[in-house]
Amino acid sequence: MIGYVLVAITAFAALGLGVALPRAGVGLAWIGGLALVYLGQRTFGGGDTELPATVVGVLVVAVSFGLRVRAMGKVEGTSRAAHRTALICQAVGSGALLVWALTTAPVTDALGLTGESLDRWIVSWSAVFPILALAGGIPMLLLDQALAAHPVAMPSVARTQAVASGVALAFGIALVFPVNYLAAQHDMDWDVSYFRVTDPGQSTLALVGNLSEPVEILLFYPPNSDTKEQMVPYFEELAAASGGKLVVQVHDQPTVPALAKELTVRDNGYVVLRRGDATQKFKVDEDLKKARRDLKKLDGTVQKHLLKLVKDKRIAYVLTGHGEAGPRDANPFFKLGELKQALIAQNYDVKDYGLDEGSAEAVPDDAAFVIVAAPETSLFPEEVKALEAYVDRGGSLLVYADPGRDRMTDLLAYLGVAVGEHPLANASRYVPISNGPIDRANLATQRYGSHATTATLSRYATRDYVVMISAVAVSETGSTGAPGPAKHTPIIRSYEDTWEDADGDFQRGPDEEGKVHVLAMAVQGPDEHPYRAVVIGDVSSASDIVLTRSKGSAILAVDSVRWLVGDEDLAGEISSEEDVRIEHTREGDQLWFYGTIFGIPVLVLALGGLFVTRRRRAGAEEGR
Amino acid sequence: MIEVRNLTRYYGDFPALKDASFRVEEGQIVGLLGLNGAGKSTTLKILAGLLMPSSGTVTIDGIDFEHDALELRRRIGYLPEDPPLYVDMRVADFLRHIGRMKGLTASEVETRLPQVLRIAQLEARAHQVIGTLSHGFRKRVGIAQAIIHDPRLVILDEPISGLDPVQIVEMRKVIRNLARGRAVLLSSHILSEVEQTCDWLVVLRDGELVAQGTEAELVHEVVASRVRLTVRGAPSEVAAWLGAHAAVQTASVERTEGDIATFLVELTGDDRERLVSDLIAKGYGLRGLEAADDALEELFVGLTTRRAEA
Amino acid sequence: MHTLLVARRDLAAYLHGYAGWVIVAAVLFVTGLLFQTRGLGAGPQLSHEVLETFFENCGGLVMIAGILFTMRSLAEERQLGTDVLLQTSPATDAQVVVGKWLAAMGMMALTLALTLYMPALIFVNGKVSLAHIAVGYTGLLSLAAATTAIGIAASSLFRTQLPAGILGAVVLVTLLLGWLLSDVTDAPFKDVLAYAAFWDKHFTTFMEGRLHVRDLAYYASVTFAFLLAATKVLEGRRWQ
Repeated sequence: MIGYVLVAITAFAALGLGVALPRAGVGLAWIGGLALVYLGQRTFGGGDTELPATVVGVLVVAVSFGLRVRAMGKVEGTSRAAHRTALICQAVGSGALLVWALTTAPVTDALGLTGESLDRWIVSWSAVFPILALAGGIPMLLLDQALAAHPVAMPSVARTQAVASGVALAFGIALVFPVNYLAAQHDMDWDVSYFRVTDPGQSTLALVGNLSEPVEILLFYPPNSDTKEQMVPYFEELAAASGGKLVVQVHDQPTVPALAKELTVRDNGYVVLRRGDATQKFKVDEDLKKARRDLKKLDGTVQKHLLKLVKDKRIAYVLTGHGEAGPRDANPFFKLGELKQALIAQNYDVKDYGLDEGSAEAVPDDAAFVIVAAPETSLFPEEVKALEAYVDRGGSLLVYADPGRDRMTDLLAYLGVAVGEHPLANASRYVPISNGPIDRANLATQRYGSHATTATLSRYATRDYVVMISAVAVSETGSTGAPGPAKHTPIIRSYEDTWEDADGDFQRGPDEEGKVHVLAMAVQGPDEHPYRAVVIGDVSSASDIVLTRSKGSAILAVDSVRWLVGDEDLAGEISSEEDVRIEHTREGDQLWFYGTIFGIPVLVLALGGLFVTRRRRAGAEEGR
Repeated sequence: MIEVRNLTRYYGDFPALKDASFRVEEGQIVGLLGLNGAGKSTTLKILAGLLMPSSGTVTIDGIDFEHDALELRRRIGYLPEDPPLYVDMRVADFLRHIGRMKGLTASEVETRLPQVLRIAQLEARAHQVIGTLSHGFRKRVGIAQAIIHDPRLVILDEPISGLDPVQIVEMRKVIRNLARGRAVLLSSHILSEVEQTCDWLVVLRDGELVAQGTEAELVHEVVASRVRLTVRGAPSEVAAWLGAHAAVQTASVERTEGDIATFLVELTGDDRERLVSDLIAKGYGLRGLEAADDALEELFVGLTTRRAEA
Repeated sequence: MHTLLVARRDLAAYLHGYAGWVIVAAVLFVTGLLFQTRGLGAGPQLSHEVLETFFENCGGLVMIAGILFTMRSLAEERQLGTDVLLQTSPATDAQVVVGKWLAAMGMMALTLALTLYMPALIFVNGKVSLAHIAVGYTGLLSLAAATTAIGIAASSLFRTQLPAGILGAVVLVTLLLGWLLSDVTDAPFKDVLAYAAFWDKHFTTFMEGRLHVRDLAYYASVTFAFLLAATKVLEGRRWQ
């Protein structure tokens, strides 16, 4: 029903315009006719309205020719010539209808076209009829306009120019379609969003430099793989640093079925590390687009697997039973999940160490080191004894303190260290988190001591910050419970305007002295008792929330562990080209913030305004 | 050098200009004279290439718009009634810009600029921003932009409209200076202006060219055909007789004193003798006959207004 | 030659008036505000996400500024009668239109150049590739080219700025949202509408750091078509 109404309205409007506007309406009537045919064939195609709409449309087109001839008869001379030209344009445009008719089923059936030849027939004629419609229709409309502007005497130049303009416009527009079609068909693209394969990091280079046995790296990729092209330089650099111990081979998986079967590589897109009979395997997709993420952190992946291959698995024990921070803590400032993952990547097993595991008796012999992560309540005396005995026999401790938690007086005194009671605060350099005064306890520092644990940090001293979310000061007591003289080295310090906030108001009171506080201390026993310990005044510095955002804190955690177990020659950054999340640690943020929003626009406005005003004033004064 | 032939232009159904033909020679200042709506601006716009004539041709040195519009535009300078100015620019910069737009090279513009500033008497204002200039100076900048490229034809539409008397005197000097080596075509509805500056007058009325010639020629034509008759006899009777006479186109009473009346008579040709002898034969007393030579003012009124009787 | 003269003149007109500077400053202000609130300041994000957000914001403003810069272009010349200077000079209408377009593009380029410090700020803490920035700005310039062409075509039809600006905006919005209609129309318009999506189909790739020939071709042809239309409008005025 709606279809019929639409057809009636369109036909009525088209014919009405054609009759009411004898000068410019003919073309509009013609367009109305074409629109009806289009509606009939496409919008109502297959429905009841298809036939009436098409028939009425063709009739309207026919009537528009009649109207044109009538208009032509009413004028003379150049105007008649213009109408005649418009008539020709109209005929050319109407040719579109005929060409379209060629693509309809009755015609193609009569020609016996089927399958591919039918498609080709339809596609090629379908490209022609819009061009005809444009090439006839646009000049015709422009001629109608010229006729409307010059109803009495049409300048002959106007006629030729209107036709020339119309044809140029029609072909200009018609050109747009094939150009875009071709561009879409033969599209080329360059993806330049951030991407780089990692370079080998120092710790990985150190690792391959110290290889005792040969390691083979086997890459399974087809010859034309872009991923392979990106990876090979990385592995070649490793091979060069290994002094011949590390060998790189590239295989196309289907061409080496025996090898593939032996290594259980079922497809291309795998990297296999082999040392003797032991192998490590990981996937990096052969399609570069899918491999991007993996390639950005290739160094870390390779190091993880190399460590598993060349180092025996070691065990890190995490003391439990006193409310310590740990991998499953609900509070993200105390959750140590990322730390655990980092240790696993360094080829550690991370095990709980509580009363069940014999914490009151002795530290297990297989312990590489023990983590004491800010217990809320005091350790049992027996546990302290067990740890002291562990220290005596050359064990390693990673101790985290935290304000409001147990100060571990006995254990730390044994190491010759004590921690403060109150959190430290700094009013000038801190990390904004809650945007309140409490943020002043969120210390960020680049003051590193000279020590193996901070060698990497110092190398990039101005790039990264170590972040401590509410920390206590660590100090030397002057004597140790452990046998022999110990060497204490402050490894992280605060800035000099940091105070111990005893009253908890985060304001620096008159008796709150600002000074450099030690935030982390390394302790090393004498050669007879080669124990090692790192005491850090804030457990949050190893929490998930900090490790994922502060590269400096992550380096501190991993390098501390490496030093504790004597792997300090492997210390160094794991290189990563992963996108990092934007963090701000400077108070200059505010400056940037307002500078960006107001500063630059105001500057532009001021300079522009000054320029315009001066120009105008200068002109006016000269004139007086 | 400039030939306008059978120029006609319709706006819709309205004929703004009908079949006008005239020539302009080098060194000549031609004035288009007519009331508002007589077709002056239409004519000038067609000559400037802004408007397409419905029929007829304009050629300058044998070139017409149909065949080489760009070359023709190079040879024409045009100042519409409201000077088209980029008001944010300084005078000299504006003229440089227009000069370059008209096809001069940068060095040609620099040699031409001081001359144009002098002709338009703008030297003191060269570095002033146009927006801060008074109306008179803006007109002069308009003239300067019309001649910066040393055109063969300068077209000025109402160059003195809106100027105060002092500025008019200045402007007249400027226009006189223009004619050297080129043709100037200007329009005005103020007779005294055209009278004083133009060498050749073209008079338009309701889109029709009704007369053209030098001032003297036009006056002569009028003088030859317009006489003042003083006749004794009943004025209404005499008026009726005159109106019916074959040699008379129009006649109107100028003044009466008793039965003596003075008539202004426009003759169809120079048929004074016949009129006089017929008048005497009719028995009216001929008291005086003189040529109505109140010159151009009369001419202007005569040519540009349709009298009620006509 | 004439093209450059027209362009130089129009560029000077932009710089000699307060309006041009106000538009530039307004664009910088809004871009800066969005950059701080939606980009850098919106909590931790990957650098390339921040950059994409920046290009997205910038793209929207480029379209607004493109219309604002061009709506006066030809309309104002008619309003002030200075179009006579162009019509009586031996410059073709195409030269005039392209010159005007170049001037508007000059202003757009200036505005965009002044935003460059924002992606630079990402480098302070993050990692993005220079090529990504280059591709993003190529996209912004393409968008600017097409938008200013639309604006100039709209400006050629009117005697005053406001209707020109409104028409330009309407055409732009039609192109932006036309693809929504593609579902309810039929061939051949269906494919055309779907392909002609001004933003969704062609700009997002630039934002993400992907340079496609097809997108460049699209913006180039939109620019061409509208500049051609503007030229024909000017030509048409001569024979009417």
